[in-house]
Amino acid sequence: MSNKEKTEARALRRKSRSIKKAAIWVAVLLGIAGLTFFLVSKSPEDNTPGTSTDTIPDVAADEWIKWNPNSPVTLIEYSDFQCPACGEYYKLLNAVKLEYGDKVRFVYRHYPLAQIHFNANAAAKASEAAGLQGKFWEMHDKIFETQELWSSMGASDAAAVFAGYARDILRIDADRYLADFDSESVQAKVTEDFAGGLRAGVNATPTFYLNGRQIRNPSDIVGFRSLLDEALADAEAGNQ
Amino acid sequence: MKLSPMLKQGISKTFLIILLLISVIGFADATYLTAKHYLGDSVTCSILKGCETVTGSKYSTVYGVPIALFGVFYYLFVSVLLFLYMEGVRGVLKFLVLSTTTGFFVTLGLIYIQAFILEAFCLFCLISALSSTALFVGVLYVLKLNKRSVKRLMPNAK
Repeated sequence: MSNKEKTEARALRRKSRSIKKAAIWVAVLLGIAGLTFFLVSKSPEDNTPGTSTDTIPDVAADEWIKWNPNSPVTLIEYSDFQCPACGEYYKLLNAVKLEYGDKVRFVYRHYPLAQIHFNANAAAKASEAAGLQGKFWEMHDKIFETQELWSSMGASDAAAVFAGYARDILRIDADRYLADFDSESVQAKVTEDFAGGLRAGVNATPTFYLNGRQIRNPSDIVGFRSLLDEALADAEAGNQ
Repeated sequence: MKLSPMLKQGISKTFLIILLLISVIGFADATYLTAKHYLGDSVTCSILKGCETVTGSKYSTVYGVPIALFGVFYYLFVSVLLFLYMEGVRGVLKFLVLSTTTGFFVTLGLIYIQAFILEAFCLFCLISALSSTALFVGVLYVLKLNKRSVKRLMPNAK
């Protein structure tokens, strides 16, 4: 073998050794990735469902109930109008309603995180004030649909936006709405929902309860389908 | 003329190992965000943690692919290039400069979105921003030292 050939062979060997090492390096990194995925999948969730002793108040007749009010299956949402995640779930629940609106009872409860969402309590009061004139869900929808608009506003501007919805879109008695918005009874209704959730250990929004038991928030309609189908099948079996 | 052993003197091995470690941190961080995206709980708001505005926003994905996943491939790529560079494959330097520069500008864009559009930051996104910036600066430093040592060894070379 000539000197040149020897050098070339050595260079080739070095090159293949480098490639081998690089391959091992990639394998190490993929190992890190696999481990990360494993740990994330095994880690306890941030909003761990409450223990069985954490019971929420029973659904009362004067609560905000929609879909099928006579269904044996009840889905309760603790929600905050200013929470972006609740805004996303508003859209998702509209899709769920198309499939389960006639089979499931849905209850909306206020859980305004006032410390981080400065207009959340006002939004809750606006929905309650509209509700006194029979337009709770209309206000609820409008508030969620325009969440980005009023979330960044100051308190008085946001309140004016809600009053504008009452007057111009829902076309309810504006003076009465304003009086109700500021009334103690409307605030008490919001506070009562919040207190009930707090006692049960609700610490994030949205938090869902299916037939009284906290569920892990489904991330899409498929998740809702499996939970609701199971609850409906259980209710059916209980009837027979 | 054989340059490579002498070129090595310009950049200490420790410096390259630090860069490699930073790329591993970035890689693990991006993997964590990707795993959270696919496996984690849905987005919620809470008093203690605020809202997961950033990772839940529409800016967190491009055509349904989480930006974090791009980050995983980016750090994997940079890390392998750094590794090869340490092994003496000098030709990868231009790819390192190219990719970390791209990474740096993408980082600037993501920071801009967090600061001015979402007005919210996410810790793990900031870790990635730090590591990609460090890689960018570090690789430029390697490039600079490299040029200097080429000049020293071959004063007439351009």
